[in-house]
Amino acid sequence: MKDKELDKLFKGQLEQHSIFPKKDIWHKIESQLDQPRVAPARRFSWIRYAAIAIGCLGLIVLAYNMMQSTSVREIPTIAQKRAPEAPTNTSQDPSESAQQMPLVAHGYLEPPEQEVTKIQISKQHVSRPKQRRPISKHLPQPKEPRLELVELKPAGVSLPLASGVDIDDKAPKEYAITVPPVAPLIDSPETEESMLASARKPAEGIVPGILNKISDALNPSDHTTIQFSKDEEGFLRLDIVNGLVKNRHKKRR
Amino acid sequence: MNLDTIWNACLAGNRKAQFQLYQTLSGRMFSVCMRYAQTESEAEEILQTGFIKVFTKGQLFDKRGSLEGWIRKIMVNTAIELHRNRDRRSFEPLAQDDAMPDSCSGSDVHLHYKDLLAMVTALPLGYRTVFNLYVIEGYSHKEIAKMLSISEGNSKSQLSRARQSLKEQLMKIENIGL
Repeated sequence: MKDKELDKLFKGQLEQHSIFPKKDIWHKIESQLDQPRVAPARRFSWIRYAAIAIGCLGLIVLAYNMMQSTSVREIPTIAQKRAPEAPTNTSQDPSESAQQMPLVAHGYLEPPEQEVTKIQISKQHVSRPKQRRPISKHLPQPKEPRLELVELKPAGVSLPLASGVDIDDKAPKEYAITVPPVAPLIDSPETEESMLASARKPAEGIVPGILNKISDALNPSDHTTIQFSKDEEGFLRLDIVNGLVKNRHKKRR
Repeated sequence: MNLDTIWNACLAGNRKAQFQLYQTLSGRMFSVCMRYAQTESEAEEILQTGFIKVFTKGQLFDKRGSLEGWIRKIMVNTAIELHRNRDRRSFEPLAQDDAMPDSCSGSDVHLHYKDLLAMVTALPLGYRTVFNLYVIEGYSHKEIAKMLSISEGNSKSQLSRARQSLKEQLMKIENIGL
């Protein structure tokens, strides 16, 4: 029989035939239709997911904005330059120190240790010296407090000011704080070393040394199994490493 | 009463009209369900679910085709959905050849509706569904593949195997008759 004939036979017989179902099926359908239709919860499930997603996105954006605002927030920067205290420094040419400060500000040179501990102030504008005084009041004052005005520039970047441009005093000024380096908690490295947890090295004497060599000679491949050492009190100590470990392979044999 | 008038009343929620529609089409629809179902109770389940869908989602019928065609399509889709939900494997082993319809045991070679229906019902689920969709409903392999979430090649091979199985059954009946 060919496929077409087969298809024709089944299609002709089965397509338009009717079989009447049991009568109770209609009652079942009717009872199901009479039931109050409960709004399916799944219908709005995507809205819930979308709301959650939007909420999460909003939180992320908010957190990002907050982080941005904290990082971009203007930090009042103050740099104070103090005149040299020591009399030896007085012999130094003031013009030389004045030349050195921009370099310090630029980050090319490291400031001397004494100066690092102090807060350095450099003024961009000399117009309001009185306002700066209260800050320097708390600091030890030299005999002749001399403020040198250094143009504050970001490291490696210089912006030449146009001669004709007048900068408004009321405009917010930027300051820079030079924070002194954090002093290490532990001064000497020896102390630090002693604080670290380390395995105590067993003291080796003459006898344990000889015994260790014999042990190595006997078991060249597995020399770490038996080790001899001297105790703190001078007793001979025998360490059997992995001596009690069972060998699975041996057992299987 | 005209079928369109009944249908409009059904959309309005008229229970009498719904019963009338059920009375008119339930015989033909149950026949469709029987072809896709393994047992009569399964066919009844498909019919019941299908008619509830018809009455609750009647607004979706766009009146472009015939109402009967739309309801038939709902029955077919309900049957496929039912099988999918029951997670039956599409590739079941072929039914035993001795599971022949009872009416064929006699010398009467003339094939009746029941015999053919029994042959189709005896086919494995995958073969039966593809055979029904392609031969009886007239869907293309592309449409069947989309409906059953299978490849076109799979649909073709299942149809071929279904035909082969039906041919073997028919040959056996003829041999018995002779």
